[in-house]
Amino acid sequence: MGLELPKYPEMEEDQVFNFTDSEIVSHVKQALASVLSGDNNSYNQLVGVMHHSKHLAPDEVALLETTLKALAGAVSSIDITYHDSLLSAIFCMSMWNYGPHVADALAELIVSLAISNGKYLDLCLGMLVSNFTPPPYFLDKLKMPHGLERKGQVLSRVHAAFKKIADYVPLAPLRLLTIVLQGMPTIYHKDRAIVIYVENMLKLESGEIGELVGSTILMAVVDRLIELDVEIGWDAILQDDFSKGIFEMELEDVDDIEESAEPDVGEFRLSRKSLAGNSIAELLDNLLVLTFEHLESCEREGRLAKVFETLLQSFQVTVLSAYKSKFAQFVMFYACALDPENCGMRFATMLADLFVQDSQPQPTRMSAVSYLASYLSRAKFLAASSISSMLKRLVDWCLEYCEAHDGDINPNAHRVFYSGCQAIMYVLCFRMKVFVDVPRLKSELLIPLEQVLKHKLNPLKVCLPSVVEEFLRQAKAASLFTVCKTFIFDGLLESELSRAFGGLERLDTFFPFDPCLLKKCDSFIRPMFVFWSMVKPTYDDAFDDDDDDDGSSDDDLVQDFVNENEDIMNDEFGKSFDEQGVDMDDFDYALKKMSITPKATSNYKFGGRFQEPARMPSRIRPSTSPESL
Amino acid sequence: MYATLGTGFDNDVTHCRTMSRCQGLKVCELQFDLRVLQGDDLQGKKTTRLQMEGLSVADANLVLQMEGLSVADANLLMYLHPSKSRNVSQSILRELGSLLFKFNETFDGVLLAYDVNILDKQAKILSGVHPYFGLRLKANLLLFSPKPDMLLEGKVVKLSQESIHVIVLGFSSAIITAENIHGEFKYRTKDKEELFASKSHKRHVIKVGTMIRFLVKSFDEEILHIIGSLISAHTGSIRWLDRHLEEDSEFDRSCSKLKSFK
Repeated sequence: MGLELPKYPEMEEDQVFNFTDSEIVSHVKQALASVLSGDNNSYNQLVGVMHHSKHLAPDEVALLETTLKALAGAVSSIDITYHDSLLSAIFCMSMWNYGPHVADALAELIVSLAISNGKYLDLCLGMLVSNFTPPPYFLDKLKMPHGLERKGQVLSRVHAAFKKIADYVPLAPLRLLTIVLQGMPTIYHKDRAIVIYVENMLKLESGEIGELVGSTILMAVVDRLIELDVEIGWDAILQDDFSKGIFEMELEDVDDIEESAEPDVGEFRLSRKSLAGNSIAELLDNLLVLTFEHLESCEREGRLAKVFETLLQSFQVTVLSAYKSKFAQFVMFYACALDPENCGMRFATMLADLFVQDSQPQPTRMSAVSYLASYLSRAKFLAASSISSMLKRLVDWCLEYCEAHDGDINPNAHRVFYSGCQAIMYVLCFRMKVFVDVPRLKSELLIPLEQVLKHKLNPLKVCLPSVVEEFLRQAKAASLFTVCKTFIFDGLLESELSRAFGGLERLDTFFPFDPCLLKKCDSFIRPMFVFWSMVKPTYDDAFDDDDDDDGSSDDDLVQDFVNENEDIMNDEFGKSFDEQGVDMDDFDYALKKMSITPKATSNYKFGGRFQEPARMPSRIRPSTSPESL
Repeated sequence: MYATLGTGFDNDVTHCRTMSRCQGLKVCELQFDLRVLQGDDLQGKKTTRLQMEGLSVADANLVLQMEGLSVADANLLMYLHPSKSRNVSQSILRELGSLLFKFNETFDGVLLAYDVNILDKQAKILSGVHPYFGLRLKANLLLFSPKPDMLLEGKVVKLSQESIHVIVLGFSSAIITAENIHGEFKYRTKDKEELFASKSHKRHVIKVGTMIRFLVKSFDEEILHIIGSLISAHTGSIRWLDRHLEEDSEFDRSCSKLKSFK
């Protein structure tokens, strides 16, 4: 058990002594004790050794390692007031700077310190947490094999140290939790540090400590996702551009600017977005991919159900209440896709429960039903029976509502009802083909729906014209029921009435699971996703083309877009954005096309003549009816 | 006298999480396990209630003979934000849940478990700036309040020449450093296992896994960390001490029997 101590500063150069471990420990103890008597010499040498960090010679490395080990044996002699310079030197050390042996010794010392006295616990945990992220100079090396190796070395030691501390101090995870949450880089740190930090948080979640703190950590991750998500917003961009509020955007001049800027939209957008917007989008993309991979590992370990409960709770608390979240909800989508029977149904049931509860605030209920509609339409993995059972629940609720309420159209008073009706129609636009072929479903689902839609509250007139239009077209083709009144929508995306029931939040045009526009994230979601181009409507396409003959230039534009879209979907389905040659310009363009941009309002207001083709409740929009123009 | 507890508007989620984090804590030595159970509250609604497996708070003091543990009958006045009025009982439980495993000066101890009764059927909005409403509660609280010179029991989790690390009740960590260990105990390694063995009583051995009784020297209220000592008599391995005491008492009994024969 002898250890050779090379060149201790006060020793003569050419002399080599052999010391045992305990001798070194007692030497260090003496150095520590001498401070109390006023002799700081050997103590200062000890502190000096701790400050060696970069470009260490082999003998310096050995000295550092030996000293750290000796300190670990002498922790009981360390005093927080007398030895603060030593302690702060230790807590400033970063494992990223050292090789495995020193890192081991350092981790051992930190564990011994943490469990030796309550006073050091927080400091030690804080030091370990600060090792989650490498020093700035190391960030660039992370991608290289050497960097990856170092990352593996450091992180495994940090997490092993947490485990040891928790074994000896059972409440340490709770203190760790606070430190981890406080130390989390904010959204203003737009570098890779947050990615590796989140990676560590997820690692904590999957470890033994995760039993105690996992749910809170997972929630914090989702919170950060949503924070990044809301940073990417059309509202913000438009406001930045014109220094005006969302309502003022509807002014004509703004609209003019918008239109005139349309031709060179790529550059126009890029100049404003590429710097701030896209770096956040990229960051969010990376974080979402991390979360997806974490969910996959949870599924492999058979604890997805437990994690899903936390996700569900956090979805309810943050995502659902966030104003039109764009990307964060795909975490739920992916979790559902991993286990459609349990998680998938649990999610749908939770949303339906929220919708039917009178005690919930109206916006929550409407958001919930928007999520439900979008989820039922877009999730490829859901069985038809599950979708129909959910739809039946919605239809039953609407029918009950109709029976209880009498009166004319009132978009404001019956917002929840109209959002429910729109949700049903939206799902049917995607899934009607499946349902009409089953007689039981037809009688259980579609016939009661007719009663709802023909009620005096007249949801057909209030809901988004584009959804109603597509729905009626499919219903007509499937000869489900006929509507005696002709609805003239002029191919509008939305109407006065739909805006009214959507309220200020514009929940009428909220379709949360529209195609995901983040590159890497999309490659995960794509195989489980129903694109509009994949939907087989009940009507015949030939009939569709005939109808379009009298289409205006707008319709052509629309049609063009559909074709383009279909081409992408049909020919290149399954490939990633990269393979399709979609670069960041297109990405920007695609982002602009999202149906949930508030820009819809301004365009509508000043003439339906300019309809941006892609700005629709998903991709339903392209169906052009004979009535248009 | 009512002890008062405040509650905040935004603490909802954290409280929820506090409740759930109790589930994972295993209080292994004394074979009870804190967990959140489903129960019915006064209004008959389902709420979560913290209890101990196998024994309620009321029985706890009968079973647990260790010093430092006590059951308190508390009259509490809790202020709730009006936004909590939809589910009062749940918010009360959450509020109490947030106090678990933390040192509380009002209780002068660490709250380990509670059982609460709501006395008020109707709460009043208090006059003044804050629209909080006050609720009177009667609660049984299981408290842990180690004080210097109390004898505590815990399980040895780590042992070295420098120190013995102990966990008390499964959540509080304690350390006994070499200078606080009686000189009679000698550190040695036997088959690569580190242990402290008594010089005079060969069977009196402390190693990892041994339940020991030790004296409290100080208690860090924030971290719930105890510094203990193994110097005084009646400290050491519980198993050995109990047997030893039994022998003593048997000896006493036999002595008294002898006396009675006389």
